[in-house]
Amino acid sequence: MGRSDPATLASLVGRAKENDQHAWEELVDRLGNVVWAVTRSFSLKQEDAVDVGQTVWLRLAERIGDLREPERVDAWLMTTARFECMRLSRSTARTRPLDPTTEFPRIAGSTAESPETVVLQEERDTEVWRAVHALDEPCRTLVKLCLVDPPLSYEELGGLLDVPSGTIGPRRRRCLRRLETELRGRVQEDSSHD
Amino acid sequence: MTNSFEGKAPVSPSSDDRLLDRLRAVAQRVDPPPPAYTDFAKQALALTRLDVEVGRLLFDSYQGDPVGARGARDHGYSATIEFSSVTLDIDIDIEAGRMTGRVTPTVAADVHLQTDHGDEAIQIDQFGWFAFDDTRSGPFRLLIKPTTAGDRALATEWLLA
Repeated sequence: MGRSDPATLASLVGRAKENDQHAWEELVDRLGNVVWAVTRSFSLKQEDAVDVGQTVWLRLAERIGDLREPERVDAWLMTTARFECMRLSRSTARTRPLDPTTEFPRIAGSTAESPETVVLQEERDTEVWRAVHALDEPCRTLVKLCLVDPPLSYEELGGLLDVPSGTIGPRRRRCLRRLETELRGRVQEDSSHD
Repeated sequence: MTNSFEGKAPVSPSSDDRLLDRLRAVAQRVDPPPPAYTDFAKQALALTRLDVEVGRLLFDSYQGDPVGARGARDHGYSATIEFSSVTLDIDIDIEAGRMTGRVTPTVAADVHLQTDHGDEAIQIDQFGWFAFDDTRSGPFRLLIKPTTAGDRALATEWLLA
């Protein structure tokens, strides 16, 4: 689902401000995945990312009446998520590189697929995810932020990463080349076992 | 094992977009928003509405030590607040699951620790201290209710333990 146009967001914020639970839930439906993706772009454990995500929505609920630009509530949420992640990263000794094999729950494939296909896909997914996590910073965060669905604009990415938006294109290209190298290395490692 | 990432074709913007589309699909399969997060987010609006009228207490400063210097989640918050006719300083310190706080100067009040699991109340001692043991990590807020009639209760913003 799209993050929706500014007018829709402004209207949802306006209704949520008046305690309209429906409007609030629609905001969560539309923007929940963006907040989640931002929290997951930081090297926090999944449970810590959940805590941050929850806190971000509580903050919005508290301050929804004070938002200066309700049509930009998506940007507000992303900035708040980033800020809370950075604060938690600083305050916890538990920050560490993720291990995708233990950190992410296995997602069952569609029932239409055979078990073999599902297993193969899970293995491939885990391998790809490992490659993303093997990237050094700032590439890992940049690549993960590029995975927000629907995609963030260069301006939004620049704001989140605190770099000029004009540099996002070249940065993104450089990081994706590294990721491709990483992926090729993993594929070769795999075939050497055959 | 065939793999579309092996392609050695010259790089073009569209191949970057294809790669990102593929990664996006992987991310959605491997790491979707968990129900613990989305369900809570939907409750957030109701959680912030209180049945008592309170003033809002915003923490503007944060004391965090460099990573590794303290244990997991050890950190603190502090704020100065206008509390009726007096100005109060409130400090909260979270260390290994124990939350200690101090209000200066001392005031006769109860402190409520509110989480999505419930509400725990204690009295601020004669030196202004209060403590909650075994706090779990996650969002919380404190509600300070003066025992003196006429003083309004204060709620902190939601903070992260």
